Amino acid sequence: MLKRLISDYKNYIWIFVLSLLCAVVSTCLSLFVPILMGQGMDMIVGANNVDFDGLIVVIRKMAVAIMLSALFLWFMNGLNNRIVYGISSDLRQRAFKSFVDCKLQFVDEHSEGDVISRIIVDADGVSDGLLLGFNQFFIGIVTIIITLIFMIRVNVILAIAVVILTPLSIFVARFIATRCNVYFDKQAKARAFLTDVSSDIIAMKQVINYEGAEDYFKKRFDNVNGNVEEASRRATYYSSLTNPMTRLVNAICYALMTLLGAYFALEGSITIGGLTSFLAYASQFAKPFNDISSVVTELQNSVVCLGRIYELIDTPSERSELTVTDETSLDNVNGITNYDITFDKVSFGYNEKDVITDITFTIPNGKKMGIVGASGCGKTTIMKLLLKYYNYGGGRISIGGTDIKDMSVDELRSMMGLMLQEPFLINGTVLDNILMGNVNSTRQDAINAAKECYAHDFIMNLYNGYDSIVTDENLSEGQKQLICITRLMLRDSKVVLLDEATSSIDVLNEQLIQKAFDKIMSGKTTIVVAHRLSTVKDADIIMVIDGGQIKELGSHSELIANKGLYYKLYNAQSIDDVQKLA
Amino acid sequence: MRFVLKYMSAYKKESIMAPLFKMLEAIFELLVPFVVAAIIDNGIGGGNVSYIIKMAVLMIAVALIGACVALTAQFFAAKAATGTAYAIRKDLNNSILNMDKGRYRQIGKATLLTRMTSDVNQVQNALNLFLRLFLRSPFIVIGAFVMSMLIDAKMSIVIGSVIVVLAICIYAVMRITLPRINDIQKRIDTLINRIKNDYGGAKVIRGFVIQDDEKDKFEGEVSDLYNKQLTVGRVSNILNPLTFALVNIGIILILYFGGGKVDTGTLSTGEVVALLNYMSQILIELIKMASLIVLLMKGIPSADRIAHVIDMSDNTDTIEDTPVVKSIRAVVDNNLKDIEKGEKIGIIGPTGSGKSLLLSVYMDNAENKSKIGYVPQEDSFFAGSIAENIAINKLSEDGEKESVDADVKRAADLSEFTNVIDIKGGADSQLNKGANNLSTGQKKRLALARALYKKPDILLMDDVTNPLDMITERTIIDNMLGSDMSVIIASQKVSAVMRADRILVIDGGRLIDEGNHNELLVRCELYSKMYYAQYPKAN
Repeated sequence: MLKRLISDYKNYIWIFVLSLLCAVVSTCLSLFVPILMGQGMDMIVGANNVDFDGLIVVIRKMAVAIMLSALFLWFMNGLNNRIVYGISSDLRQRAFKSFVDCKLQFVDEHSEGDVISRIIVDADGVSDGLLLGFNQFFIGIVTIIITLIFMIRVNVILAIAVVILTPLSIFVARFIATRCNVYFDKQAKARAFLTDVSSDIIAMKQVINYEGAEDYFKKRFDNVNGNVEEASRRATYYSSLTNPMTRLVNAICYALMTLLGAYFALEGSITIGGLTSFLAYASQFAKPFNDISSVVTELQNSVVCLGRIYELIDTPSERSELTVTDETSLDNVNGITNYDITFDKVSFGYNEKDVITDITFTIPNGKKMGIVGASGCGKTTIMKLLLKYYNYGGGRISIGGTDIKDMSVDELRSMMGLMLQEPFLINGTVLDNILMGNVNSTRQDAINAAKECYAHDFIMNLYNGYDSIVTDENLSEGQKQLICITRLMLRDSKVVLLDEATSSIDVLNEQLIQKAFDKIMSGKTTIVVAHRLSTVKDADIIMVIDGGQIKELGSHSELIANKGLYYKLYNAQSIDDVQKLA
Repeated sequence: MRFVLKYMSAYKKESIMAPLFKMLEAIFELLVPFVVAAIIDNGIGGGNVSYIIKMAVLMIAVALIGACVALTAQFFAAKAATGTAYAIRKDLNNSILNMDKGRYRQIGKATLLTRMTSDVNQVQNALNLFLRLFLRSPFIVIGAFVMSMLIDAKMSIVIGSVIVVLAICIYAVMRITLPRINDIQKRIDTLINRIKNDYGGAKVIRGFVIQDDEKDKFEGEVSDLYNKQLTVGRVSNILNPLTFALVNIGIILILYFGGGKVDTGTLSTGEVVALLNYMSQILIELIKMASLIVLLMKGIPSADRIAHVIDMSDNTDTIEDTPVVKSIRAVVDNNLKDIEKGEKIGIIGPTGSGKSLLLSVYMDNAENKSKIGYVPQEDSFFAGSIAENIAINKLSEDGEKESVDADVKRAADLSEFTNVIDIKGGADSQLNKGANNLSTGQKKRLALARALYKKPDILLMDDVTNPLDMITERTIIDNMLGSDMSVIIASQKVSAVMRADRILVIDGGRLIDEGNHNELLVRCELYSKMYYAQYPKAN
């Protein structure tokens, strides 16, 4: 996976190498400063014993080292930003493109939060964690090696002492960190439970008020709240031990170093300046180790992120099976003049359960078929298969005699106009939404279509007419639905698919909208799914589905005469039956 | 921010002790360079080995005491922070339960939950860090400066000016970048919105073959973000190299001026080392403080948002009635004032006509709410057993399990919910959060059972039967009509109200007509339109 990341971003390799180079130069120079500082100190021996000429030379060297180190650090930051933001942007785009083209099954199997977290959080996780992590890791190693060399050059025994003592502070830090994970786990669980309880209470607020059950829910909340407090206090306390404890260990090491160093200074094997620079190194020596150990966890995390984002990028595109440029496909679609729809013994299963079995029917060109049945019986599955949202198992679906498997999804869907129960609007203006997918239409076309769909008046009443941005605040559910209908009118597609398109509209408004629908459907091959029988009554063919199978197929009068399931359903909703009750 | 102090006052002791102990720790830390200087000047300079050992032991002792003091401080800080968070959550929960209905709607459930969870956590984190670091860092910065003054007043000017320049630089960089970071967040939100939108509309986007348009838009938004990130990066990139350079320039200055002073005998070598050490202590603390300020900046808006919610529930002045509420109130006062015992009343009207509002106004005006069973339009349940969800107003009373069971069964029978209880494996079987292991129709019947449980005199049903199939709807209406309760049924379906004793037809918040089914069918145009829309005349 890492190899793939590297080969995907080959063009960044030189910037990356350059950044590492800057890191090495900057780190070396910055580590050189304490040495120079020590040399400077050695020029300052005592009263009337200061070598000013030597001091100036050292100070000049120091100034150069500092400036160069800062400069390279600045370069490195700039390069890193280019790499990190560049790669995360690119990963985001690739992941999003793959998400928009993926099969619907992927959407069904992954929650919205999951997709967002892959595209937004994981992309950052990869670039931040992996690239910066590697950089930090590299700097850490360089620091350790150079520090060791410098320390050994100052005094070997002191250097050995540092190497022995330093792991202590690392162990302490790690020990506390692993202990803390247990408490963080408990805190996370307690918090998750509180979120559940609280969201129930917030949702039930009014019921609780009306039923006078406040005391019980206050008590219930308080229990959970207490648990969160306790878990949180433990987690907070134990995690806050890390800093003082490592500081303690470091301070003890520092004291021992000072003791040892002072002894060597007395002995004359080290100068005061040498001791000063040595102590500066010793006190910083634990830092790169701690950095590296925290980077390692971060690296592990970013490898997980990388896996998740590549999984999304690799999700097969439903459009790649037959591409638009595929000439046979284009011929197939262009050759169609007659838009009759035929299902021949079509079956489809999902998660090893059959949703529909052996569905066979034909809708002649320009005719309308209504599908009726209880919810979950497989009504909408028929539309989904026709749109190639899912690949059906057995049987054959054809339009105008051409198997839809021989058409690309884009070309197939370009023939269709669909509208679902939930009105869908893209972020943008009213006009954007009407023109959505209707590339060749003009503003005037959109306005004409809106007039035909009784949408023009309300659109003109919006703050900016057709150029108003659509939001949940400025549009009612019904108005959103009207925009979707206008879009469908403008599309003027050969095949029209309506899936409970008006079920959230009340009966009166539905009658008005019905007129617009009648215009849209006239002369088009149409499939309408609805649970209100009034919507499908005048269809040329009505199909009754139950348990994934066709129970009845025929016109309204035929099915009534049949006295089967449709007859029963129709009667439960019919006027005669109701008049008896009243 | 002041509002957090109110909750902290319960932890006054901890909130004072934590920073106090932190200050003590800082004092011990400030001693170390002093001791090192003494070792260099008196120990090494004077050739005194036992002095060096004594001082090293002192250093270890100081470190041990410092650690103990720090551990105590962390304990107080953790206790004060989590305890304050506990108190805020408790008060927030009470506020939500006591909140005026209008404000509850105005704020929204999702917002309330965010206040309760991430906002409170944010405040807790900020508070914890504040107690631990806010006194420590400035204290060490100032303390190190004071110590350097004690060593040499003139040298401390060097250190002081480095502190000032550094503080100004950090402030300037943060001043420029912090607001831009919000800009970046806004652009990330734009990306998230597009993903959400395209997730929800996955089918339509594919159906209309506009995937490529969406990709282009997303690409534009991503490159917008990229440019913004680079711009902000350009400024914040400077911070690290700048602090590094400034502090080391400080070291150079100390060496240079210190050297001069040592030469004239007004400063010792060990003291120069101490000055250098104070310099680097200051650097570390200043950088810590910068990151602390960023965290506090996150905590303050969270605290303000929580305070806003709690203040709102304290606010007793009610929201002005809108014209629709006024006219609905008039309908309730005139037409539903005296309901006869056992009377069945239907309320019908198109969506948005004011039916739900009417029932909720009726409920709010009622003198004895415990005698009214109300099934609101929106479902809400909690993660508990089916029985607990039905017997919600009996929850706090213990005992009487048997009578509760019997009442649950009676309520479930009436609301056609018994078969669901059987499917789920009994009344003690558990429901998920929000009862989302039930279907919409099942939830409606559960809500009805809850309202029926307390044997109300008057039952209010808001669109209860809408998602139910015709046959179940009819059975439930039969059960309600056959009971001796008074029942008010609001619905947009004629089938749910047509058999009531009287039916109120509502539109636009006004009463259009009132009468029984046969009267209205002849007389009321809206009613007959709705009737024939549901039951088309046979051609």
